[in-house]
Amino acid sequence: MRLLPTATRSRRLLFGSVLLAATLLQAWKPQPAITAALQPLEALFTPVTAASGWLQQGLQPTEEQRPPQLSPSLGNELGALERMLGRPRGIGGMVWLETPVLRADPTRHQIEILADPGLALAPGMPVAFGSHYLGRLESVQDGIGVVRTWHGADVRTGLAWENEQGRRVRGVALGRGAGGEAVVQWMAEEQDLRQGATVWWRPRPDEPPQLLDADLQLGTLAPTGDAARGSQLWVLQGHSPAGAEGRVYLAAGAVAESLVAEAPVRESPASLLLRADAVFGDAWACFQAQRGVSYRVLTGGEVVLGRVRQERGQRMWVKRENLSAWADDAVLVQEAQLLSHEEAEAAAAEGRWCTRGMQGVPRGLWLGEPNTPAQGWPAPYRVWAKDSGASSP
Amino acid sequence: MNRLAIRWRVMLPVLLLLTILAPSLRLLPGGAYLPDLWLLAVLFLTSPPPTPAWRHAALLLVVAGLLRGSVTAVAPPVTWAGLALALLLRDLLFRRLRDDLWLMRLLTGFAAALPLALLDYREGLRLGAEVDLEVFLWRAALCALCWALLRRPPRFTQWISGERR
Repeated sequence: MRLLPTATRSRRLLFGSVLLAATLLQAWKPQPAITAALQPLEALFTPVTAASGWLQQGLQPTEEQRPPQLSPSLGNELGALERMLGRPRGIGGMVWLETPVLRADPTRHQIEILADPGLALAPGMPVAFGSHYLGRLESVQDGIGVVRTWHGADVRTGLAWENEQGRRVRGVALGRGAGGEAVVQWMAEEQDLRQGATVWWRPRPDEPPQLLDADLQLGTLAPTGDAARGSQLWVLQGHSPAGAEGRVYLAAGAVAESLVAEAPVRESPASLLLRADAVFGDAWACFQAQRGVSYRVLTGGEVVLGRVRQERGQRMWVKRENLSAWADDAVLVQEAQLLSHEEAEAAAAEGRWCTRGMQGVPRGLWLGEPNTPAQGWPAPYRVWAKDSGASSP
Repeated sequence: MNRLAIRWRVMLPVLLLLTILAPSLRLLPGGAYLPDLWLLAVLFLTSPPPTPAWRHAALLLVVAGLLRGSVTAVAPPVTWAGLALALLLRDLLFRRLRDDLWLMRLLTGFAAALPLALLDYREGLRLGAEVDLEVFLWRAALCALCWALLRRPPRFTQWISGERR
């Protein structure tokens, strides 16, 4: 039996304990810096992954299952539909600038949009989609514009509605954020309030009056609370259209270089390294793509196969998912309509489902047929991500 | 050539072979329940007390973690933590329980396999793998069974612990 001197044993024990604690900490809560530092070391083992994949293909060759072919232009089709539905009514002396949404955050009542220098966006510009007023551009920084929507906490918005005599009544709405629907804080004539009246957006006095011609809506009036107790409030009930998560329009009095900015999307061909995971099984596969670029979703053929769940160096791990796994992150494209998941479920509508454009996944990638089991890895593979820089969650 | 290098000339190909085979084995019917091959390798290729070879064990852990990381989405630090805890628990229990009773060996094996199973399960939850805890517990149980039923010949134990005959 070999026994180490006490001091050496204690030192080794201490060193071992610290190392184990650090490893456990990294396993429990991975630190990106350490993960990145390990990548060159892990990259040395890529041939092992490839060898395992090669053996697997030899042992269990699979025929490539091709999904029903769809026109690769679903993204373009969605874009065209969004343009058709989203371009607000023309207004004299002004133009609508079109820009893609980078990230929509309904819980924080803000939308991040691409602020292309060619558009020369400026804080304060009204933002709309179709006949819906969305809010105002709050800030522009590093190519990203932040739109504060009119539902946001303490956001004051001018509004107007027609009373029973057809006369326009003015008011001011105050957003409550997570506290609930925006309330009518002030109105010119209280007796003219009526349930279900359509409420229109009213520009500021210092803005061009022709903005009124765009006829942008906020929603409808509805009473809430108990009138007998004197706690009745009038709230604005309205929803943001599904298309407003794809692109929005900003009213501008002058044009810089361009009127339209295109959605920045990164994509790259990918190759299948391994068609299973040694721990998680056959629903996972390992792919290889361009080095040093981060991707969010994998498509095979024309259909989305799954999200990139783990990315280490050039290797990325994808879990095969079918349409049901996307639920809230999908939109339904119909011939002349675009529906969110909730709207489509409520109406039991049918059409083609595609990605909504959340969490760095580009908008408009086809999610496949409903009720189709997630199986097989049909080629050719491509990986995608929204090119929204550091702002992406 | 020193003894450490000679041992690695055998162990490295074994680990490589296990790594290359592991994903294919998972695809077999019932393959999801197969015990973790790297855990078995580490348990059988390191010597328990009274002759623990720490340097050899540490190197084996690092290599096994990196190899496992090449064929799974589970990151190497998760594997390192799981395997290190496995060795720690095995050695602690080895000192306290009788090694000649298979039930005690079963207990030791299960305790050693449990940390990696739980860490894998947690990593699965984090990555959205949707693999039941039951599957990981079965893997730990089968690993324990292997540890209980398979015994290393004394000469092999001497060889891996680097002892001179």
